[in-house]
Amino acid sequence: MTDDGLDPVIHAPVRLRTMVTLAALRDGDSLSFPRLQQILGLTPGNLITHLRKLEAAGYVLSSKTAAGTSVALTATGRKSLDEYTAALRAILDSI
Amino acid sequence: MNAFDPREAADLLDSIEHDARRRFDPRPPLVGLISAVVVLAIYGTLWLSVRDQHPYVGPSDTATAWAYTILAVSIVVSVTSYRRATQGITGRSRRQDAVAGLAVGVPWIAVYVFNAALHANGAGQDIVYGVFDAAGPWLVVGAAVAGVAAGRGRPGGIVAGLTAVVIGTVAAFFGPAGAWGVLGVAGCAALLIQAAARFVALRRP
Repeated sequence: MTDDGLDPVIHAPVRLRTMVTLAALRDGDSLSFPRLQQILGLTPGNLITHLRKLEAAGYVLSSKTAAGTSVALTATGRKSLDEYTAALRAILDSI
Repeated sequence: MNAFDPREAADLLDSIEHDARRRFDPRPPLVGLISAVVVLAIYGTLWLSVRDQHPYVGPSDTATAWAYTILAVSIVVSVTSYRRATQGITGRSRRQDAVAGLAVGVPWIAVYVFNAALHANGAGQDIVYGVFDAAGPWLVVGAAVAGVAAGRGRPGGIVAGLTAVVIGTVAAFFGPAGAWGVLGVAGCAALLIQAAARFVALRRP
C-alpha cells in the first residue's frame, strides 16, 4: 500500500486507466490487445509493461487465441479496483 | 513518495469510467434518437397513405417502399454502432447477444409469416394490411425483448419490451388506419424517453 493506503499496483495513471477500461466490460468478457492499446493511446511495449505488472498481481488475465491476444479483468482485479475506489473516496472525503 | 495525487486519480477514474461506458455502449443515445425519428417517419408515411381510405386497402406501394428504405438505413446505422462498440470484445456477452438476436429475430419474421397465413385463410385487408400488420410486430417483438432482458437481468430491456407490447395493444383499438398513426407517435415518444434515460445513465457518476 502507498502512504495513503492505496494499492500501488493500481495507483499509477496508465494502470488505473487500464483497470477502469477493462472493468467497464461485462463479466466474462475480454478486450483485444489492439483495441485496448487504441483506447489507451499507448505503444505496444508500454502497454505490455503495465499489463505484466497487473498480471503479476493477479488483476488481469491475458489469453492468446488464433484471433490474437485478449485481456480481461479477473475477479480479484475487480475487487481490488472496488477497494481502491473506496479508499480513494475516503481520502477525498477526509480532506 | 507518491507523485500521483489522489484528487488527480479520482478525476482520472471518473473520466475514464464515463469514457469507457460511452465507448462500449452498443446502443448510444444518438442511435436511440435516430430510431425514434425512424419510427415516426416509417409509421407516419404509412399512416398518411391509409388515413383517407374507404374501404381500407392498406399502405400504398410507394409508402411501403419508403418505409422499407428508411428501415434499411436504420438497420445499417444500428449494426454499425453495435459493431463499433463491440469491436475487439469477446466472451460471454457476445454469445448472449447472438442468442438474443435469434430470440428476437425469429419471432419478428414469424409475425409476417403468420400474417401471410391470415391472408391465405381469408382475413380482411383491414387485418392483414392494417391492425395486425401494424401492431403485431410490436406485440411479438416486445414480448421477445422483455423475455430476453428478463433472462439477462436487465430491467431497462424489460421495461422497453413491455412498453412496446402496451403500445401495440393500445394501437390495435384505433383501427387499421389509426393504428399506424398511434404507433408512430407513441413509438417515437417511447424511444425518445429511452434515449434520454440512456443519456442520463451514461452521465451518472
